[in-house]
Amino acid sequence: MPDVFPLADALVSRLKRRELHLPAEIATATVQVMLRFVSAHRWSTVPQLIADTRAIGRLLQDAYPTENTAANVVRRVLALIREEERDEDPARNDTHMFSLLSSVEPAPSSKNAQELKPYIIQAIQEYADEIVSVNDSICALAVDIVHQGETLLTPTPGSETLLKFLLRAAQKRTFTLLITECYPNNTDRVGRFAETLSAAGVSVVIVPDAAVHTLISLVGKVVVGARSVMADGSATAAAGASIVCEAAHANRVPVVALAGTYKISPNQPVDVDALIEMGGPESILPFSNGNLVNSLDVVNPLWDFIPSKFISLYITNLGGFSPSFVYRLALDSYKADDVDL
Amino acid sequence: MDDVEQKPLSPAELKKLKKAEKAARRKEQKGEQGVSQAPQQNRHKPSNKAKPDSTKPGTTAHKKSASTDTQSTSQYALGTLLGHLELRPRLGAPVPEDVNSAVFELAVRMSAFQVLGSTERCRQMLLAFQRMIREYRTPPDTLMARSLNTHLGKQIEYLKQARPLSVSMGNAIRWLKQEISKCLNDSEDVVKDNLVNAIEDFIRDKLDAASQVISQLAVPQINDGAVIMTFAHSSVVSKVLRDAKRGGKDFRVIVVDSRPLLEGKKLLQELQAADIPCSYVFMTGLHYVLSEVTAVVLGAHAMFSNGMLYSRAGTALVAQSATDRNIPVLVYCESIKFSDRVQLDALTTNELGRPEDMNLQIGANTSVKALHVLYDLTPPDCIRKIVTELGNLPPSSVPVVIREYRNS
Repeated sequence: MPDVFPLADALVSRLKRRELHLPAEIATATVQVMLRFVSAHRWSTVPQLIADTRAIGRLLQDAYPTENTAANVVRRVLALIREEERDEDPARNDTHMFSLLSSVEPAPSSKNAQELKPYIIQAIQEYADEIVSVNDSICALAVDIVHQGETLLTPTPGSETLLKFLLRAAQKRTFTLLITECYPNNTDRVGRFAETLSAAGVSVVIVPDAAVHTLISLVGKVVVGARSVMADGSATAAAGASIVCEAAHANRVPVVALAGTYKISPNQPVDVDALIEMGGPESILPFSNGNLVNSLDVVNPLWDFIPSKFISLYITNLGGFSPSFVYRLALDSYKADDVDL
Repeated sequence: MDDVEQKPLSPAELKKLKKAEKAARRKEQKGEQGVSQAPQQNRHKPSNKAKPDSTKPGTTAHKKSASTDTQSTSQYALGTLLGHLELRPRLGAPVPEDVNSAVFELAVRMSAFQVLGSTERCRQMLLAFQRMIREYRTPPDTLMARSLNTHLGKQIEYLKQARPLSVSMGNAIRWLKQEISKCLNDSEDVVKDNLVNAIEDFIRDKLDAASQVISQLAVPQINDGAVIMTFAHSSVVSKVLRDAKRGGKDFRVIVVDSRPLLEGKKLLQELQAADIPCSYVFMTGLHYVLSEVTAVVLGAHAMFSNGMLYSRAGTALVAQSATDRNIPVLVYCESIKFSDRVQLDALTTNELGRPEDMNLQIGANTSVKALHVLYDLTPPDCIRKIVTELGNLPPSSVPVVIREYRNS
């Protein structure tokens, strides 16, 4: 098994260094590693391939424990491998009621597993193409969400998907967008996000994070770029998103979350705090505030956990879904055996 | 982007353009005639003339000149969104006629957001008025009290130019005018003595003693081992927490803060000086720390007659999040902040802060705007109780207190 690691090594160290942090980048990089791995790796049986792939999945997951995308892509690839194997061996498809009670395990495929290789590679290639076109599919729904003259609010100006979504909406609709400042993390992205949309004709207003409660009654919809989505329909997103969604929920303002399917994790959120990565304190309280910093506990979460009850709708590349349906999407994409890598 | 610029203009847009053009022309003519407006105009003129060479002829050039004109008044003009809330310019020298120097100094400091907090602003205003009354010279052949009333009106008008009066300031002014009307027939020295003493008593009773009583009521409510969350800075909250520590209570405080005013830092400094263990978190991290909180204590700008708490923007978010998690929310509020006004949302009456204080990282040539509202409104169902110098009250008792207070 050790020879599976060199292929993943580069990606693992980039994840560890947080060089890759946008889920879209991570998904693309992971699926490319998977492609190269299945083509170059010497495997003789499908179970061996599956075991080695899972090993890579575990490595990627451990490299960036709060980020699910890499593991999700590996899970999807595993599901594709299992499907190809099953298609090849009709005996395994045989699930009529007489075999339900039989305890005899079907014998491992006697055929040369290498014959499967081109099919598996093709399936992964198709999945890679799907990942590339995720944003396009999500953006296609933009005009269904935004109406003319509407005021939108977003607490996640760091999201690329959201930016493309709103740009697409701006082609057909005139609307006002309120952006929270998202202080203290990624403040440079807020400015870029605002300028890009403003140049596309959207009237953009940046507001302090604390002003949300005052302004929420002006808002028609809250749009959130989700970072990862849990099976129960809850999500993680940039810090500050949860408080905005809660205010929206209290005022009956719909919350629309955008997420590519590779962000959907088959896991339930058990330990919520473990999903959240912490940032350094210096962006909140610079070390120049010497005596204050010494005896103070400065908390700077980078992400926020949004419970599913605050989200009204998910827009994915497969269409729009209610949060209560997300577990079904997870079941469709992944096999139950691969939930724990 | 390109096709947006080259799109033919709709009639409404054309009309708007023509209007802007006309306004610009009129302004230019005025600038040539009048001297007073010269500096502002001159700054823009050269750039206006230079522009048509570099940009496309026709519409775009006009558009740009119109936008620079509005930028000169405010880079962040908001237009229709909350257009009813005005943005007051920063005050500065020279001292206007008829304005006392103490009042002028206070107005400038308020205008720069150096004097913050409803209680502090009220106290500083009363002290400035006290000095003004001491220094006041009655014009010949007039009654002191009568002319003082008009003079006071001018001071108040000037303070209003800095920032809208706080509810506490409004209540104090109403009281002061009443006091002046009580001594209409007295001589100058008597009036001065009476008023100076009355102001001293008012500050002692309504501000100092009130916060002392609130502290006595609130400290026993803090349990050992409590984790108390508070937002921004409130002088009463700070006093209560420090008194509790001095009384031997063992607790921790989480200070939630928000840009751009960063008032929480001031509270941090006060609490740290009192050796109270603190955590510091921005609004975006609120939900992360909320699970360990046992009580939320908040200060107030005002309590409205319908039970709404009007306070620094962000207060309502903290109160609502805590209430959703069954964490009790207490408000510490002196009764001088009670107002007979009613308000349902924080948009109808609010105050705008200066957006340039937000220090946004946006380019100069963009039409991105910034909106900085100073207050929000917390609904009564997010408030467990209000601790005032008159006792612990539910939000629904605010109008009762106002009636009793006015009658006495």
